[in-house]
Amino acid sequence: MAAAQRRFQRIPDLAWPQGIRCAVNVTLDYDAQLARRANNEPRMELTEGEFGGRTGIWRLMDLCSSHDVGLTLFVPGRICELYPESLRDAARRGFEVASHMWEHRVPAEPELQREHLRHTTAALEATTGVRPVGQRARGWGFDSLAAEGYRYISSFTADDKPYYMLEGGHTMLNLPFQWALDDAAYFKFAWLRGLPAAQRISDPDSVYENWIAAFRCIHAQGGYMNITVHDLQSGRAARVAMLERLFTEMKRYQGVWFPTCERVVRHCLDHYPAHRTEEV
Amino acid sequence: MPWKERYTVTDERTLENVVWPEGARCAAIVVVDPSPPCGLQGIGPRELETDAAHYGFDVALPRILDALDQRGIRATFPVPAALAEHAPALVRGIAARGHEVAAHGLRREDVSRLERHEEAWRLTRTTQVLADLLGQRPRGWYTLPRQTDAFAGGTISPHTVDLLIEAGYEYLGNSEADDIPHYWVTDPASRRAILAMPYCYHHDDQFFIEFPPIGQGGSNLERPETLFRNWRAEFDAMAGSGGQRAFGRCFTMVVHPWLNGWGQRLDVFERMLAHLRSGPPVWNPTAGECAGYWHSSYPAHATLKLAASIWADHPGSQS
Repeated sequence: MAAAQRRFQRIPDLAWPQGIRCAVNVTLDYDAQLARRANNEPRMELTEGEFGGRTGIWRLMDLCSSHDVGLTLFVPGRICELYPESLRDAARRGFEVASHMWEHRVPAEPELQREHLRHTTAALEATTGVRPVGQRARGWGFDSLAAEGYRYISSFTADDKPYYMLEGGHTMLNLPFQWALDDAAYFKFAWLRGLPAAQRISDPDSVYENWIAAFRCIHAQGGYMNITVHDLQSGRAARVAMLERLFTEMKRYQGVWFPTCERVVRHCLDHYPAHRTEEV
Repeated sequence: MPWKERYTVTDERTLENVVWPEGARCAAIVVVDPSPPCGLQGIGPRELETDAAHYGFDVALPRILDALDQRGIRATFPVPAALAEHAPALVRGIAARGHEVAAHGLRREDVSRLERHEEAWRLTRTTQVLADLLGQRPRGWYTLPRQTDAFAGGTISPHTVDLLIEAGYEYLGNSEADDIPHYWVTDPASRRAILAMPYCYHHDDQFFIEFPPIGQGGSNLERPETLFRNWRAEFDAMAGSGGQRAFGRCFTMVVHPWLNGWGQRLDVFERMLAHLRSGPPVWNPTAGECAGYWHSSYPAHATLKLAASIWADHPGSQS
């Protein structure tokens, strides 16, 4: 599936709607215990994830609601069977629910891969009433994604602004994230299967400094920012307080837009459709 | 909640608006782990004779106890049976100063691969050793991580929690599933559960000081200010310091005397104790007192909301 060759189409003249200087997508990878379960981690590690689904998710949704931030949740399908109430609530609040694998892994077998994507898409639609159009995770074939109606992905980093990816006749808009703007890199042992001894836990003040510095540059450039938080890491009280400080500071700048990912995608597809952009 | 065996230990949604005793905005629990550094086998004769052990027992622990006294902070000390037998006077001295002594395994060892009968025997023996020494059974049981563990959540077996319930323990000392006490369910049908106290490795000194441990590779192993900023930020968010909104939860910090006796680190610990006392009123119970309050104010039959699972086993998925 991933064997098909991919080509890029950048959007060099990308500008935001009237009055907007930069767009900030706050994205939440709603892993709860699923990432740790998929890695077969021991019992106690799963409780770290359980914090996210039981406690953290609600705080992060409350925070984004109170700041009018258009949160996008990237949700593994299994969350529909673990924490369905939080997903229904996300939809009621007007947040976007996008997909993030079935159980936090992308199977290599083509048929099973399509099966996982079908399950996930159907489960999210059944739970929230809205069919997801976005997806985060590498490894899916674009044919599988297109067959389920996906329009965009947020999984690759070959540019720091939205760009198109083409594979086997299918086109996806990619909303690039940045590892430095991912809370897991700062606040999680066993990050991407690393051992604790290979890692350092940071603190909210240091992460705030990194993130606000990134924002100032992106704002000055009129660019695109994609912040990734996780229920289990950023749902902790000190981290929510840090995000509150961050959003408050960002809103002091002129023309900062906090839409959902889907809204950014609609802007790009409407004004910079793939066929008109120059192939790089 | 939609219960799922091997995924969940408690119910779907946390409890909001917790009311604490004494009009406090939040609770603050200090856990002092007096064991010397050890591996998965726990404490044996070799671990009890290291420099870190001698320093921890003779030099650092008295300083930690003095610092706690000075700020009027009471702490909970998880003690393995091996330590109680090795240094009975030291352990009795901790209890005599008003702190709680909880159990920490036979040797602070990894029990995850033990047969049930072997683990049950060790649990009974540990309870007995501590009860004989202190004149009363320990109320709680900890299974904190060691600095060299592959994972930082502590290790248990599939039987541990059930054995603790069977043995009549009031609480399990460390679970990461919430930042308030919560019920850890072993059988949703019968609602068999134990109260679990919150723990998070982000507030455990051993992952910030001399970490990674000497000889484990890596550099940048001394970050006391990062630890302090984590403690302070978490506590401030829970207590609502400086006018921010108060989450009103149960702040829990963990320290190890063998790491924290040294002057510059003790200074960080003392600054944090002072900070706990510097703001709005805070309730500072031992873990056992907090568990007792929880059992009477938020009993399982009234607060644990268990609903049937909606989990389905799909072909090609993990069960």
